[in-house]
Amino acid sequence: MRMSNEDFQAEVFRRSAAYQRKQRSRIRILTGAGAFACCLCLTAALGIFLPQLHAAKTFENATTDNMSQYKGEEEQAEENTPETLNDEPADAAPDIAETPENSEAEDNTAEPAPEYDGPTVFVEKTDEELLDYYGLDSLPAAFDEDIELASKEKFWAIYDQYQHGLTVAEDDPDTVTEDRNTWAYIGHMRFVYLTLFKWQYGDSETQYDHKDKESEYESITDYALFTANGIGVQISYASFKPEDFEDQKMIKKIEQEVRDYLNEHRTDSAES
Amino acid sequence: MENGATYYRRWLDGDESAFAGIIEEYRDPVTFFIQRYVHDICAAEDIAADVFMYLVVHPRKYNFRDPFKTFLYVIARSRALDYLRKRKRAAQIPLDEAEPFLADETDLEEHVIRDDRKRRVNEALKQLPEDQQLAVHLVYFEEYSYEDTARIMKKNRKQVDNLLYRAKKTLRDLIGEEGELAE
Repeated sequence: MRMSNEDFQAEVFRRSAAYQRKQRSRIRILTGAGAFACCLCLTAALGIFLPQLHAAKTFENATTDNMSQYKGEEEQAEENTPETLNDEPADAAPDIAETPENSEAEDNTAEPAPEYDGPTVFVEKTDEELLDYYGLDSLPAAFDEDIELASKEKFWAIYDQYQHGLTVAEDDPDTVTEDRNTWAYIGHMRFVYLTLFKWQYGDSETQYDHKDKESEYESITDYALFTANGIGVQISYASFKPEDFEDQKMIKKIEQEVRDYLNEHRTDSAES
Repeated sequence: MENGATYYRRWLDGDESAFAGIIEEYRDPVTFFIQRYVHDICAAEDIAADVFMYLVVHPRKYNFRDPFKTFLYVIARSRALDYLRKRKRAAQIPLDEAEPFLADETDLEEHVIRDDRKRRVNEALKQLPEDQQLAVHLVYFEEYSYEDTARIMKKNRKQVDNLLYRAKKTLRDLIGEEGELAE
């Protein structure tokens, strides 16, 4: 039996009302879902970018501080006369090694990174003071301006791992990373840098290693570690090397130069 | 005499009773047109209700320049095709359940086609392919021009010409020159 026209019209309006209710509800759901998705995206974006922003800010601050320290060191070195330096260099470094702060760093392995001030002590030293501390009479040839591979972007750092917390910090990788980062940046756009430390247990074979960029200090890819004449040497170089740079050849060349240098320039008094 | 567009304008302007005029004038032709597609009077009625619902929920869709009836038929065709697509995926109603509604279909035909000769043509028309049925329906029963027929069927003028030519040829074989159905 067919519907009358009145019933048909009533059915049309009933369907229209139902359709419009459904549409309104769909719009509400879509609006809610859209707002929720926006909130999620915003939260995710903040989660991603805020730490990066914070890290960048921290790095920028550290850079500014360290550069000003580095400049201060250079200015101080310029102001100091050679006579003044010759009066007290040999004693200066051992004194630092015996300061209460350094003893604490050695004893307390759980100390957080900010309290580790070993590198800062060395930043304040002039080149000559550091050389005296290690019993060296000049910089290694690898640091010389005339050496082609290190001519433009060289960086050098000298510190005593055993007295200034690196062995301590090995238990705390973050401290090591923080420490190396700081040092690397104090230099220039680092390319190759050497790390010297006192070593009193005889010479060792050279150990070569390749660091995983994911887990280690990002810009350092390879290094060689050896000891000679009472000094431990770590040669590290960065991943952004020139195209003509041949990894093993280069590192061996620097290693040989440093060995030769230590044989020639390490003073007897320092070795003992 | 008021046409569909006038009724619709009045209804949009707030005259609730005007919609009854639209239903009165177009319900049966639209249902009959949809029936050509779906061959199911219940479904055709249901789809027709959706076509009129479209007028209610989308009041700004009609531009008041095209014929109102053409606008309705375009919607009806679209809804009928939607239904056919959905029906392919759904279970069919068994024939014995559909039979009680055949009387409604006959009533509708009798209501829409009052001329005996047209009724005979309509009987013969059921033996034609669907496209040809629709083309003849629109031109012969609804008295649409070839252009409007092409517009409703979403075809070009030439295609409608061909459909009508073939339909006429077949109908001539089915219906005698006097208008009697050929046995």
